[in-house]
Amino acid sequence: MREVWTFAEEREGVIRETSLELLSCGREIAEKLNCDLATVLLTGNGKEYEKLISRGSDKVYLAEDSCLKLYQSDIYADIVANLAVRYKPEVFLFSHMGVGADLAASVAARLKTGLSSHVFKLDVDKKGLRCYVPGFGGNVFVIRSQTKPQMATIMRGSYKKAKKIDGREGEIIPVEFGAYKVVKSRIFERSETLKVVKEKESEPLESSDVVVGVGLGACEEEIFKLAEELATLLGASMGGSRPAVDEGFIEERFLIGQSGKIISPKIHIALGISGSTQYMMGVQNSEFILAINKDRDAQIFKFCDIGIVGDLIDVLPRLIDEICEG
Amino acid sequence: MNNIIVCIKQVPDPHLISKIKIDEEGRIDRRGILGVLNPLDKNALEEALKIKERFGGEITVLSMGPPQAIEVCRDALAFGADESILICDRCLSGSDTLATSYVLACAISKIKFEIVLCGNETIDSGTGQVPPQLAEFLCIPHITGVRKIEFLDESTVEAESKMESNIRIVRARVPVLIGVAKGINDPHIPSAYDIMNAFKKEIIQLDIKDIGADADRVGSLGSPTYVERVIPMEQKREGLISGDLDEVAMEAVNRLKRFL
Repeated sequence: MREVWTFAEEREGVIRETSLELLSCGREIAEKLNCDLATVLLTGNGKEYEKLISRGSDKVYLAEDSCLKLYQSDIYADIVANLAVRYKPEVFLFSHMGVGADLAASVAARLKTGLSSHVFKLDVDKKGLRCYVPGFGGNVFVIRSQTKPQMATIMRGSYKKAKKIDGREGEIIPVEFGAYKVVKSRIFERSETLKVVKEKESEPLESSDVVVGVGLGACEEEIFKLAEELATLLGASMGGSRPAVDEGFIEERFLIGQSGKIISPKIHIALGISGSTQYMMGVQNSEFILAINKDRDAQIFKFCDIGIVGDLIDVLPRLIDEICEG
Repeated sequence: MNNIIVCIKQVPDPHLISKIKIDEEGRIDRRGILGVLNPLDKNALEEALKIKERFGGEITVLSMGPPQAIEVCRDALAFGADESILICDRCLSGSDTLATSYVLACAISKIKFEIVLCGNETIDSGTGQVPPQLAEFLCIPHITGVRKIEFLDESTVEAESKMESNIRIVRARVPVLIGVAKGINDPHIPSAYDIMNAFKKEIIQLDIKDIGADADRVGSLGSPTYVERVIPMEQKREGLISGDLDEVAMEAVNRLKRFL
């Protein structure tokens, strides 16, 4: 039976939510291709594989060893690539998170197969996968690959978490780790992850109901102060586009967009944002988007619920007054 | 330290990138869009300078690109590179990350090096795939998303690799490839003197024969992935309001309040 594979990641011994989103994506593709869905899991120990089966995997390829607890780029790539060579999946999907993106690229190089990155929508036809990825100029690129396995990294939030189905059964295929025990020390001499440390939490963007996004057009001291005032008034978190981060107005950890945070607040207010595809990827799931930009032709006006063409220095005080009056 | 290799790329100016027009076949109209050095590559170059300061060695910069990419090779010399190489050949056009990584690896494997530095991703395609894939083709370990590199000694590196809200501490032996991320350092700005001097140096140009690459593993021929189509992003909303600023502000706030 042909298979569609997903790669599952754990964080502190628990399967990550994005890996469950990936199962939805994998299931959709598996149905269309008339394949089974299987998941590859490398773990320190634990029964997390049960979660994968209950949420849709027909099979889990399980490699278990204490040295696999943390992401080890060489050993992980070795195990995963060897599995793919041995069992020849049709499709192999990873989450586009730090580990997934890095590992997928290494594995694709080892397999000499194509990899589509940052996919937000996946479809399949006779020729294979159709990968929709954000491109510049407010466009979407449809990427194809001519080799197997067809590989892609899927952006977080593109699919909903797969639902749990009680009593679902699946197969566990243990990955033989014996050979690795022998070469482990040699591999770790080359490169080894020593530990993983938690960083400052920047969850506020993802958990806020209202998010103000600052773009290049708002990167001016006076305007930025007004933006902060607006954010405070609305109890909003503030983030920004890549240019705003580069200009130093917004910290890197508050970057919104394809290579930053993907958010889905009730309200998103985009100030001086051009509306690039990369940025829109980050905010397209917002319930309501208000955009202000002085460029009438800015892309953002195609993607907002209310768009105001005007100078932020004039519009913001007016908005602030209006909110205060209400 | 023998050689510190830095891989660079010429990309469209980030301030103009949203204005680039693309036709239905995915061909990019770069007219009027200046090419610049990929921002993260500056961080890679700056890091190379720090390593050279400590351990000596030569900084060799490589770029795969069309003829005009020679400009960023020149920028790299102004930045402090000792040698700058442009790999340029008609048949390289259409290369995806697999083909690009293969080409760079062919060129780099001819040089004796301890470390390869790359920007973690470029601002145009932004896949971030080249650093890990290049490392695979060079058969060396890699660490991507690096915000801090510390050399414990000349042959051992400890790096902080950022993965979402966590930091992975990785130790590796040279030769190693590092993909640098934003915040690793503050790139200096080359002086007019540096820039002038850069024009006095020769930039080496190599084609696929020079680097010993197989013609069927480069360019579109050697690229499993390709852009089939370019479509406009789905427009789900279209809410441009115009009118007197007071009216517009009132309407906007009324709509906003429904969600608060």
